[in-house]
Amino acid sequence: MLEYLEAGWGWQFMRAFGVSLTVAVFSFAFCIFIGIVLTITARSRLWGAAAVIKLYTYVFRSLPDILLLILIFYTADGIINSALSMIPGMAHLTVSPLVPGIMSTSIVLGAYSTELFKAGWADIPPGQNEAGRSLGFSAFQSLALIILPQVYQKMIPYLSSLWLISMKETALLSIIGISDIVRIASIGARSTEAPFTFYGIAIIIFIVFAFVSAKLFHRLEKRSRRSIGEI
Amino acid sequence: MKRVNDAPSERNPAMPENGPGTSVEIEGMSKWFGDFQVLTDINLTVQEGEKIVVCGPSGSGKSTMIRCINGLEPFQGGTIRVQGIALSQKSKVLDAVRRNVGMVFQQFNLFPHLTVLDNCTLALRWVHKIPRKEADELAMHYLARVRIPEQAGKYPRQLSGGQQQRVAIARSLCVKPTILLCDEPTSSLDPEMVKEVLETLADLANDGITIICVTHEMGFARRIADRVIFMDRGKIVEEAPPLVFFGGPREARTRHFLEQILH
Amino acid sequence: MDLIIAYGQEILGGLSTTLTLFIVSLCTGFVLAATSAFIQIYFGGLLSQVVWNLMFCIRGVPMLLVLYVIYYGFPVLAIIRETFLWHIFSSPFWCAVLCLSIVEMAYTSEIMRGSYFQTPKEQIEAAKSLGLSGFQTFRVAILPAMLRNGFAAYTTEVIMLCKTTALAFTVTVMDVMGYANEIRSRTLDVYEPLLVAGAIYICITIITRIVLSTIFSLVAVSGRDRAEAL
Repeated sequence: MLEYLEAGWGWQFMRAFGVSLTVAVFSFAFCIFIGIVLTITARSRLWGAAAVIKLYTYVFRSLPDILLLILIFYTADGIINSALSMIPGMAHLTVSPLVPGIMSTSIVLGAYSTELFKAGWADIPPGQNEAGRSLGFSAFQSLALIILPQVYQKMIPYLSSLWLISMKETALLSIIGISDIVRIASIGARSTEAPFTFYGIAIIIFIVFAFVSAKLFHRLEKRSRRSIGEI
Repeated sequence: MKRVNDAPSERNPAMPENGPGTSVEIEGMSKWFGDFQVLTDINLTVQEGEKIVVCGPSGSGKSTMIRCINGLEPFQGGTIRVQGIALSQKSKVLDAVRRNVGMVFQQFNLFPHLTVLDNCTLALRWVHKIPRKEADELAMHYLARVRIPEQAGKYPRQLSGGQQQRVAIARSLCVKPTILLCDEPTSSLDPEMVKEVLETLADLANDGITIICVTHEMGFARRIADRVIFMDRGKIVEEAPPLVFFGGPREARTRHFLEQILH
Repeated sequence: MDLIIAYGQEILGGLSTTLTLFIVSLCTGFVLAATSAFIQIYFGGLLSQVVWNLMFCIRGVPMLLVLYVIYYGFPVLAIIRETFLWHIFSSPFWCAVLCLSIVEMAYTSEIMRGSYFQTPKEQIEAAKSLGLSGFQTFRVAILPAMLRNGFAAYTTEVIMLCKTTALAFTVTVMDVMGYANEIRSRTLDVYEPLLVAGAIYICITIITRIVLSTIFSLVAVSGRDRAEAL
């Protein structure tokens, strides 16, 4: 294993990890954003919003991720550029293949995170918001200072699995030709006839990542439980 | 029965008649939940510093009425003026009204993720933009007022129900409201804790703050109320000073209710 | 419209492959998961620790990577290439089944373990105090509670499995996704084949949800009936 890592593959894997991590971080951030915004919209009195959001979460929890990725990958460039062409003076843009990757992962995980946020939100008694409003907080302040901290506390274990899933989803990027961890491992496996070494390295990267993330979120959970006087 | 002579009902909006002296003025207020009318033609004028106790059978709309006063519930007909401001669901109006009105809830509604002290200072720091140190001092003053300054560093779940409700009272006082609304403040407390909360409220009654309190504690009403209001089926059936109210209520429905509750 | 019908007919050719992949790996995955959960629950100590960590590792690795290891990695080994195992590992379909079963095992065993430990101790003690045997206790007290606690998570997991079968096309299995992708690269039409395939997957998951909730209500109710009969 070591001789391969020294022969330049180590560097390749580092770069691939960077690519995967970047996509994972963006997808995770976007999916949480989608979850929060859609939960607020679904809970508002906006007519039909709840039904539309229900449809969104249902469809994208049923659609294969890879199907959406390929769909977006082959159409994103055209859609973005035809949108840009409506603005006069905009030059043609070449869309980085990372963009469809982040988009499709965010949309799929957004469906899961919306469901999770809706469940977490429902656990918070309406009196919390009423107390906030009657103390003079604006709707936004009440959300940021009173509701979200409590939702966050309930959501930490779920956030942890969302984070792990967004990292694992990056493996799909190899199918559309992005040099992520899985693609580097595949190339290495094919070109050196040592598949176990290369897939082994990729597997170790993911497992170490999973253990470190689990530890991290466990610590966050402990800290937040201590901060509400539970421990 | 009203203590103050009724002001003329034609008003010039530019020159509000209800100058100093009137705290809350409800005129012909009605509210529906869908097709169901919960409040019908509510008229009530509360003077500054007056203590009002609202009672009535459950489902009579008393909680809904006081929740309308700080805009937690929208209403469909009539007007409510709080310190001269006509209430609407516009956020500017609500902000202005809520600065004057504190509220104590049946379920306390303390923020579980914050310490007792932070519960009290959160609004001071974010709504009233008071520096942390000053806010802490003010909060400690009110926590001392409700006699639990030693619990300031604890979290709500570590306190008893009575202590939590006293923190909630301190929290609503911190922003120095001129009106305090209490929505059945003792209904979800164990019997032995009711007294400490009522003592705290009675203590405040001497402060000159206007209190509108929904409660079934008739002893408390007798002690602190200037007027007792009886509601049934979304209407104010009777209002009278406690001596008259408990001595000889006019309405049969009131008598029936008092018999039920006083045995 | 004609185009969609033509594509649809071609893509439906992959339906039986997708369904076989899905159902076979669902069943094997369930049996493996039950075994793994049983080991973790009834043998404490080191063995249960080792199994739990193994499951955690499988859950941490992307399914695509597991598939590549099985399909591209294992045939390198002489023991596989020269024995009857070659029949399995030379077929992309069986490689996909193996991979899906392993992944399904890792997730489902954790759901089973979690829902077992959520069962209130009092219920188990009450059942035992009635003189029920170990299996009867399980049937009457533990299983209904596990179903209640784990049903929602298991449904999500089964739907996930159904979605994941689409990855089999990466090792040349011609399932629904495989045909859709083939049409896409042949005709350069993107929307029609993929949206048709997406609609097929959504139909499968709708039916799956209905079937699962029917099974759940049957099992849960019969469990209650049994408890009343005892």
